[in-house]
Amino acid sequence: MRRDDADRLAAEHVLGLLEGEERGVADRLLASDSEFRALVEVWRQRFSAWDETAAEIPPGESLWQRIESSVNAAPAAVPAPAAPAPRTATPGLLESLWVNLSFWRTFGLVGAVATLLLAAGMGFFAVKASRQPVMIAVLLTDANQPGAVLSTYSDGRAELVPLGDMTIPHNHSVQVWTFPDPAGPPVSVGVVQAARTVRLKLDNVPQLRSDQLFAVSIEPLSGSPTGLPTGPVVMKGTASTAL
Amino acid sequence: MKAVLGDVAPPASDLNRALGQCAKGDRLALRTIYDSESPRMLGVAMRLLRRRALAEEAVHDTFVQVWQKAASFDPGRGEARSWLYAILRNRALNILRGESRTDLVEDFEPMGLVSEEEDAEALMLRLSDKGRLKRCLERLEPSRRQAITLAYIHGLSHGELAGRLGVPLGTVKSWIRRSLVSLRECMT
Repeated sequence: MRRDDADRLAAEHVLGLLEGEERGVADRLLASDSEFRALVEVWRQRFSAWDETAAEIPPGESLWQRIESSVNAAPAAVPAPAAPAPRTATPGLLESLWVNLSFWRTFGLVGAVATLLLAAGMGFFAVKASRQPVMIAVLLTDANQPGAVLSTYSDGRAELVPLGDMTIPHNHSVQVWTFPDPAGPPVSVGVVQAARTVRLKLDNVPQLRSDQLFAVSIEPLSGSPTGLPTGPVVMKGTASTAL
Repeated sequence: MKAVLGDVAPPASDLNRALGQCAKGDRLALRTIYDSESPRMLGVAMRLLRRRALAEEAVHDTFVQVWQKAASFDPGRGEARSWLYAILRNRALNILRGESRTDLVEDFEPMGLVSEEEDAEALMLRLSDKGRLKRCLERLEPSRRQAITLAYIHGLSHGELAGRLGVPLGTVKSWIRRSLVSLRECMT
């Protein structure tokens, strides 16, 4: 490969523009060719000023907790153990298979693929079964126009699908609330930063009732600081059992 | 002078040291990196993925990889921060390009997407005047500058750039290639 081609490949890799065959070529070169890695590094440096222009968005504490538990589950790679002492006796076939790393890798891989296929199949049917909403609420705006549809599913998931042009003021979010106890305070079931379908968390909410009230309020970007609605309620509606 | 620029990122040597500590199994060092870098990383991931949950997933996966690969980081081959963001961008672009395709299609896409996206000229203003990137991007024609910017910042593919800029795919590809040659000459 000419150096110009390699350099273009390196730059487009950094831009994330490579597709298909070229993407494969770049991945192979990254793994095997130190000159190519150096070209990539130079392009990363050139564009790195862009990364510094990103807004700082403080993550919630739950993100660190998830990272910590993943790190606990998958401990840091330990240094490779020293090579085993050379064997003197000639091993038998079974024994050599037993110590043959690639045999066990393949064996493990086949097992893993089978498990994945099984899991995917089970997931497929589980998804099919839970696709049907249990309850639906159409949330109406102040002007009595449908603003969003909220569906809840048998597996505890819920989805909010905005309708029409739901606008969220700059640097704000909308927060979805429900009233498990009609006389009690609302409970937050999700904070939404952009007008698109979102999953909501109903874990903290007891069994939904028909007629349960849902409401959406405008809140700061990371949600209400007080745990109760602080901004105006922009839409609301009650749940009813899906047909 | 630095104070005027707001939050100043910790020097690279701190990150290098923290990565070295991670390689030895020091969890606190990982947390140190997380505390100093995660807000910016989430911002970068949000520009690519637009959805908070996906962006947090990318940052999560990045830190797990940082933990696992810290020992393979070689300060002689590049800067710690650039290594960190390379992992993040790879992860976010993989989520954007492959894994979440179906997920994104199921979504209610038509609303809010374009308005959330800062256009290339607004993004240019955020670049430091002193930096070479800004100076060299300014030499490009606006539409070519826009193509490069949208690709890097928002992760648009060649096809998406062609659609957004209203030009044929081949034109976008040659714009990008020529712009890269010009940037290389200007920034070397």
